[in-house]
Amino acid sequence: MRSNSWNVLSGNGNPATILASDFPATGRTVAGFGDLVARLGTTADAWETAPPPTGSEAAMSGADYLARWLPDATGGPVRTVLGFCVGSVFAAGLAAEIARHQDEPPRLVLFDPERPDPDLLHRHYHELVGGLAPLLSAPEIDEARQAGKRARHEHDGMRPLAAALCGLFREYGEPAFRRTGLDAERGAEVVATFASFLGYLVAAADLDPRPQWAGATALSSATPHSGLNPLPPEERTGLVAREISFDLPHTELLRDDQVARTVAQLLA
Amino acid sequence: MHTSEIRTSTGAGEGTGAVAASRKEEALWLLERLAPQSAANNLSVAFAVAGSIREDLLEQSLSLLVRRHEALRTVYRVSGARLTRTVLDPAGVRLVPAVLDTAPDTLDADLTAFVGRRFELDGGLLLRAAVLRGADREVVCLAVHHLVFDTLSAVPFLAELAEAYTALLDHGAPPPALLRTVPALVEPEAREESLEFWHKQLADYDPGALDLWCGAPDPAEPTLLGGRVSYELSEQARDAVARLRRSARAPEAVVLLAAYQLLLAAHGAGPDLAVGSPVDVRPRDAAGAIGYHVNVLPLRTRVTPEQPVRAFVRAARETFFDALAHADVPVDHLTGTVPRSGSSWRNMLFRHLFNYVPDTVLPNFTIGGADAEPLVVENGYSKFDLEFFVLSSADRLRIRAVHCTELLTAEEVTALLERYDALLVALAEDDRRPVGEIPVWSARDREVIGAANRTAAPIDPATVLEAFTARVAQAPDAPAVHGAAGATSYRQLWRAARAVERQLAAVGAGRGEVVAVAAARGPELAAAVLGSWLAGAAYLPLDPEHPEQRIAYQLADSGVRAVLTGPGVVLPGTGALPVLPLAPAAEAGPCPLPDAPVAADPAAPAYLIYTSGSTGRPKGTVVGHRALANLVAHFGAELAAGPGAAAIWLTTFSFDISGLELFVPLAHGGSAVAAPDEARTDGAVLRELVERHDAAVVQATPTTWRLVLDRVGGALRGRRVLCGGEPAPPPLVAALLATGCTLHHVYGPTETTVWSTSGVLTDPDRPVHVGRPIANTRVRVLAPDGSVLPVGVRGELCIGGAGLADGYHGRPELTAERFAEHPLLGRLYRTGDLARWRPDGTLELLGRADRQVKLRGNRIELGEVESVLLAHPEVRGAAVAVVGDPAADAVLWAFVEPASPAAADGADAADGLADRLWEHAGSRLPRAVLPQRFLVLESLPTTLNDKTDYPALVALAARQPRPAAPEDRPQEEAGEVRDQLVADLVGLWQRVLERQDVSGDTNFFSHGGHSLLGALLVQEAEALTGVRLKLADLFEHPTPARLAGCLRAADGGESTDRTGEGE
Repeated sequence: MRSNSWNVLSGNGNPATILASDFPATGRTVAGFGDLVARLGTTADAWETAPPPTGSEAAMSGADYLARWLPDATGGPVRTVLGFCVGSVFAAGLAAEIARHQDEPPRLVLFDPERPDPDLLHRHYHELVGGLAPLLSAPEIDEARQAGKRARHEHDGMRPLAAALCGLFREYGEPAFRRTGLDAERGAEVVATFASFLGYLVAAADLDPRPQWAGATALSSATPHSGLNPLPPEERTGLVAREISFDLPHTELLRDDQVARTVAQLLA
Repeated sequence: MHTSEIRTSTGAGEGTGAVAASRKEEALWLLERLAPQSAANNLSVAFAVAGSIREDLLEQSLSLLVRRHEALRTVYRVSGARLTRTVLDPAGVRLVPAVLDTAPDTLDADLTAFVGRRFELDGGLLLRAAVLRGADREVVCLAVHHLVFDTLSAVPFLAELAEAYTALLDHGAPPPALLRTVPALVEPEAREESLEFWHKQLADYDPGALDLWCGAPDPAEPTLLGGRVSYELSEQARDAVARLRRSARAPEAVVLLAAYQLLLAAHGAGPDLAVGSPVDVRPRDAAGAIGYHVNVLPLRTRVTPEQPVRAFVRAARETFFDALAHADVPVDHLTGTVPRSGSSWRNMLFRHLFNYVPDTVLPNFTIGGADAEPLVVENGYSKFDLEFFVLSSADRLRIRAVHCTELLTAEEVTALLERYDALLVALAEDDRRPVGEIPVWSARDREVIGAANRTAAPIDPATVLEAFTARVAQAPDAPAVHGAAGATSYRQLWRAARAVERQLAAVGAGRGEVVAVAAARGPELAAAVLGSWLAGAAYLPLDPEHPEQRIAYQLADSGVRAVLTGPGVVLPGTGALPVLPLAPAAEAGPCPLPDAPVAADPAAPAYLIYTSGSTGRPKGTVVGHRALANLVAHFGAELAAGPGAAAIWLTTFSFDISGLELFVPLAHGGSAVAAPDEARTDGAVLRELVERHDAAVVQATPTTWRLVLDRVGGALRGRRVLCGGEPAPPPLVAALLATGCTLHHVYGPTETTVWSTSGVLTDPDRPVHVGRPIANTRVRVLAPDGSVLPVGVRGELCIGGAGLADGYHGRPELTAERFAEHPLLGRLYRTGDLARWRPDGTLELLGRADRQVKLRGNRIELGEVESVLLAHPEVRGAAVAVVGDPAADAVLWAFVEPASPAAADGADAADGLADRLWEHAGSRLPRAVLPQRFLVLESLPTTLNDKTDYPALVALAARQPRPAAPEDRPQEEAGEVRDQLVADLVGLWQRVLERQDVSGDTNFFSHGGHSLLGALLVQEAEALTGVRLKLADLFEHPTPARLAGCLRAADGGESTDRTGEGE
């Protein structure tokens, strides 16, 4: 059960005292909680959210995601809930729910916390398509991106936009799959991976993390479009209780020794 | 084409068990996967009959042949990642010809359409037949896949078809001999000796060097669409071939092959290049076998320019015969022995084919008593960039040149054929001449480029000063310059110029000196220039807006004698130099008008102007009076300048093109309208000036045009507009043309005086060209070895003629380097720009030459890679260079100066940064142009010119230890991969990631893998182990060791543990 909905990052097989919320399964190069926990040198039991099996997320709401993770997460007193990027939204939901089951609410520590919106979906599509060079030619990428922009204009709702972008990725990515030598099934698997990630972002948009974030500590990178950085000052202030900024790219935030020391202090 | 009856060939019979196809067969299939719409492997057999063909008898004959020859009823199926072959049982096999309507003028197209229809490898017969009726004669056509046929198969096929048909017609029964089954010929295994021969033959060969300098770059997704150009060699060329045959004692095929190789080399292939040549590999006792029994041999040659013609042909002969003696090795066994070309789809040793066939191979014949003539039918595709199919007969040499239309146009192929003809003639003229000296030009090339360079014209008057003073005498009261304070007449400008001359004389600034001028565009600046010339000095234009340091540098470097400053201009950095304020032009006192034009020395410098490259200190170009007069005379005529015609003086005077805006009107009696700086950014300001003065000529750079066009565009109709100074984007050209102006697209470096080429653009849909050389200007496009390139071939644009500057002030070495003395063409300025001649004699620019390199077949823009690295926040400086021999083992290195010095402190920190940069670059650049090595340096070395010292970096790279190769890894790592499954996966990682530094713990995604490649890896791992895997498994287990564990777990342990098992 646990192995399905949570990945164990450290510990001795006891119920988790640290929960980390992220979407780790995209084969990404962005540093993850595995990197951070390794640097914490902790023997505490730390678990990380595992996404639902590809395909099963299609109709899941934000509450469904929480419902998938919570039963296993309430076994012991959870001291800390960590969230990365959009995972911070689910971290807030997890923290709220866990607080109802134990005497002391868990600490909430967020890394570049971000609430998903249609622009974020579109940005992921835009970057994904760009990453298909050189399998796609510049005009092909351009065409795919234009189609993405049109989809963004046409859809303000998260779900319709996600569906549209997945369709575009399937359509415009197909030559790249073929040129890579992927058979149709493997190509579909790549699209499904993207759909699964978008599904995760869409579901997060169902949740309002602000009540929990207001009491949380946020660790921010220096990447302009990540986390709290793009927010106007008036919106940024008060969104979290405390913000600590690091001169690091978003991709490295969870892989930095100084960040790990700061987290260790917060956990102490 | 109208199909009157649809019938199909059937292959329903159950056959013998499927076996795996050979590598040679799989290679044909691979090509079809790469170009899934193509039918490039389709062959044809066709003949026209003088009479009527009976369909029933044709069907019986065809079916008989298909049953008789196992090869023809061999079918293929795709099963997963493999191709399998089965021979169908003869009983169930029929080949029913379709009957198709055609017409005389659509016959060729109808035949090509029939042949060019793709065969699916789904177990069906790989041939179909048709009778086409409606043309002059009935035509029988067979379309057949190369897997079961080749060109020579047509010989027995047609003979047996005619025999069977005739017998059926005459006797109602086929000849008994044709009822016997012919088993498919199994080619013997390649001999060890032959494999060894080819491995030796292809050692160090780089198939990535086969790109031609003409044609288009490889498409990402080839369609393999083909075209054909037919050409008959001239009588002179045939004579030449005959002479070369005798002198080199080589067969005709070898002479023609050698010339083909030289032709390709002269167009950029090689010089170490291989040409494919198909060879029949049927054993003598099976000479009539039908099937795919041809091997295409890679005939490799190294073209050394010094080699005499005769020796070159003889070497080609040796290569040819050696290859024939080892023809038993299919080329597909050899592709793995050389580095794969970087281009995305090509996996070949050659891209150019040479096929020599005596035309007696397929003679006319009779079928059922009627005369039949074999026809050549194209399939509409080309598997190679270019194929010369030479058909030789006693008195003719015909070439069918089949080409990939995406790469080469029919026009380009025709040009190649014409050059081939001319080359053959030239080769035979003197076979002791070094091959490098033989021009590979056709008569048409000479005509086109010769005409474009036929630009001689008198330069009259010989200097701009002379022209101006003549105008002063002719029409002293005409307006010369319109400034903020109104018009200044020629008379007044003359007076002001004389005043400047006196000012200069007072401080001893005269003949041979340089005088700096810093003033706003207006009559005072014009007077300063003219006054300097009257004094015998050259002017140096300075922009007061430039940084003080730069101004001080220019003043010191140029050895300026005095500085003239306009009203309100304060010039920093003048130090102890005399600074002479220019009086308002209107206040200059009277003086007599010149009674004759005032001459300046045409050989003396007119101005000295500084330009800066992207790095380094600015260099001063010295331009003579004659060069300037030539430009002004040319554009005076081209722009129809004359009295009353106004030109807008818009460009900042420290940019040399500003001179055209001032001097063309002053030399021709017109006026220059001095525009304020804001006219370069505010189109409304410019429009007001254009309209108020009804300006005939407006010149600006593309950047300026982009800024002002929306406001000024409406006022440009009918005016002459110049655009140049940087590449003009086609949308801007279209927008300019839409205004209704006459658009002169101009090009030229400062070193050849403002502009060297000019062309009027008219069609927004045609590629933008830069016109032809201007008067007294000669342009050449040169290859890296200095040979002069013909029409359509890319090379460095070099300029000679009257516009050439004297050189760089005080920089003799740089002058000698850039203003090179060409052995045949004299003094030329090497622009560093890539260009090609177009067939109409205009020039097309193709970017900068010095920062484009080619590695393993990929063109790499080094500057582009550097800018990607520089975009990383941890990087302060970046330099990218090719280290090693680009033809062999060269590696792309990135040298990085970190933003924080700590990143270079210690190997771990440097490695960490290198890893991050690798990932950063990997997500933004095609993998083929990704640097393979990163070196983090405290700071990048620089030359005395403050440019990055690339040679020092290359030397530094050469001193670095090589990364550990798998065989010399430390013991423990070798032990780690002792597990066979992990070792196999490491191999898979290496192959998919195209890098060698992989161990059992290499994370796929942090070493360049992305999800698509991940899916490919999973697909291959599944094929390797037979265990069903999902992409998510790789996400979870991203290293070879972990994925091995996952595979074992999924498979219940032992069966995928191949430790110790031999494969």
